[in-house]
Amino acid sequence: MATAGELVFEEQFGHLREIAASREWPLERVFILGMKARDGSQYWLLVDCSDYPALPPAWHWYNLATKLLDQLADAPKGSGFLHSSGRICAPWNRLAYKKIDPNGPHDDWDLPNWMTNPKTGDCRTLSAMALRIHVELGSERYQGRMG
Amino acid sequence: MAHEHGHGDGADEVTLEVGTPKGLFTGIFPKTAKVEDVIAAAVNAKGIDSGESLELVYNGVVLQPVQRTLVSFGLAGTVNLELVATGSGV
Repeated sequence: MATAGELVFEEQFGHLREIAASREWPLERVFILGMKARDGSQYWLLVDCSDYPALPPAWHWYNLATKLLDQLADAPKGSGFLHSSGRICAPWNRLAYKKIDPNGPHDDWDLPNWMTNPKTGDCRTLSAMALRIHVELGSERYQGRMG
Repeated sequence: MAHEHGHGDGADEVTLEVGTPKGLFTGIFPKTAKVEDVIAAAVNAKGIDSGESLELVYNGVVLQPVQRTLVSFGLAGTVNLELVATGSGV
């Protein structure tokens, strides 16, 4: 259940979105999410939801202290999903597409059709994506920090 | 049958707080409930389109086979689980 503060934010952000759209102001939809891995390591993600759901979100590994994005030292390793490129390898991550991010593992996926990519499966909501990442960080496949 | 919300105080019950693709599902289940019962209850309660198989995960471990009971996985008290759409890349 959403808290009163969250409801207020959603309402006010919705209003601002209407104004920004009418004036063609760029307005980013970004949130920061923290998760612990099974070894207790803390990871942060900065998630850019601009143009979502037409395009998938960009799930950046993030350093809360330095504010840097996509550094190997801030990314976990341990599976094809937690890819050695430092990008989450899934069609629902915008950064997995090489034409968006040169380090993206895939040039064979169709970005606009990310929802119908068989690899997306039912990972079509922000909650499903976040849970999928958390499961990977908690699994035996996880092997610590990349950098 | 699960009860939604509240807390299971009975020794024969377990309270599950399940993160799902459509938010949080909380239910009280008998320890003898099967994993597949929990998945079905969460899918039904949250209106999840379960076209793809969903897996219930506890501390990074997939609870399989789904015909096993909750108690057989050692679940007791209040437990955080994740109902995960298994789609991913590689």
